[in-house]
Amino acid sequence: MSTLKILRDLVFLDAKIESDPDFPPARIDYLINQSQRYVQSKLNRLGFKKFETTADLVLSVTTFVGMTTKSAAITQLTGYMETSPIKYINTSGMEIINGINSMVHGQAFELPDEIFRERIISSISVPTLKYPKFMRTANFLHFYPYTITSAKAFYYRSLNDLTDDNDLTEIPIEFELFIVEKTVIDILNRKGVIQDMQKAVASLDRKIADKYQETQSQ
Amino acid sequence: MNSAEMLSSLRTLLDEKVSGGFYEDADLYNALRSGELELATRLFAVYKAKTEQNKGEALPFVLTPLYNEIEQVMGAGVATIPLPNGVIGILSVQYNHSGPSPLYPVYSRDVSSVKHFSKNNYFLKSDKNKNVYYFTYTPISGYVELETPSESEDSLAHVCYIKHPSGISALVQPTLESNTHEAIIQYALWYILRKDKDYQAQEYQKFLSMVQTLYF
Repeated sequence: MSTLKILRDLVFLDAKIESDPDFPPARIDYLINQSQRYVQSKLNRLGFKKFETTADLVLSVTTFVGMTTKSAAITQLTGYMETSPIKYINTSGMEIINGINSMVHGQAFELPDEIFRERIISSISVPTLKYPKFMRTANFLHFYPYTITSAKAFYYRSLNDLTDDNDLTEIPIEFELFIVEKTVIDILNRKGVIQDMQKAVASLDRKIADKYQETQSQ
Repeated sequence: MNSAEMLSSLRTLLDEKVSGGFYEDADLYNALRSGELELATRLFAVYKAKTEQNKGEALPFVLTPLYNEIEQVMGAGVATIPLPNGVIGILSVQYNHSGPSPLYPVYSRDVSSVKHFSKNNYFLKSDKNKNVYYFTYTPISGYVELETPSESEDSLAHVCYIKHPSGISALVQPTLESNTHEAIIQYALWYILRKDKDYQAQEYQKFLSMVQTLYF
């Protein structure tokens, strides 16, 4: 895996900005970290699993538009990458089934906030312990049904920014050069060299997707 | 060509006898000196303009005889590197504020009012902890000014620059290589004709064409 210095030196070479006073190391490092997040975000959405992590949530009773729900602050998702979706949340709660108090497990998927209330007041599509739902709003997660007693979130964490020359990127080696390529595109766009930025970025996105497919088919 | 041959060529172009002509040798040598300096200055200006677009641009071969370096041991608290007289331009500066090695490249800061803003820019400011240095240079000041003063008695600065040609005279040969001499003579011809109020614009255009050819 490459260090920040290696990535920076590659950027200097590829963008031909070795002695450019407008692009000293501090600025290159900032752009590299932005590109690292970009590549990570693309990989997350393609289904790459390396950056998945979990958090056990502490739930509180609350209300949402007059309906009782369970909630948890987003801050409980330590290192959460806010630009990536939360994959799902495993939940459990007690329910009387055939006269017996039983633990019911479910997997909650996110609903858009505009239809969450519609679902929880509906008599047909109301979420159950077996098929719970959650919504994100105002930095809180709201769960329904409120009889959920525990929840474990599966989400993507953010990569740590590279600050020291010897810091290693966590992006897999097969995708490291895309960090460099994205940074070079950003720099050349700022210098006015690239005519069509969208085309350059779209081409990069295709390369990342193709490379991901290639690694999955090996 | 040596300086005498250049003088003779110039006299021929001026329809002058070799000796006892209308123009004094001193005037003609002065014109040749001006031509050599003008050629070097022009080529360097083109080189600097090209490096704005391509940081990897190599120094034109014809300027290599004018390449010079100086190294200075900076005392503690020193931030300036005086340069000798006759500098056409700076090629590069290397420096270490805390010792003699390793030497780190120093970025050039624009000398215009922009520098007051960029000096405080989060990304563009000097950072001695990361050995990111900036310098400014103006020919009028005559020295390279570093934004990070030295913090050690033995810290080192290294400057590469292009110096003026030595000057052509009866005793001093041209500094630039022979492939530039035609261009120098061409400039000197225009220079002398202009002095005589005989404005021959096409002679100057010929000189400019030769300069373009000489840049690689």
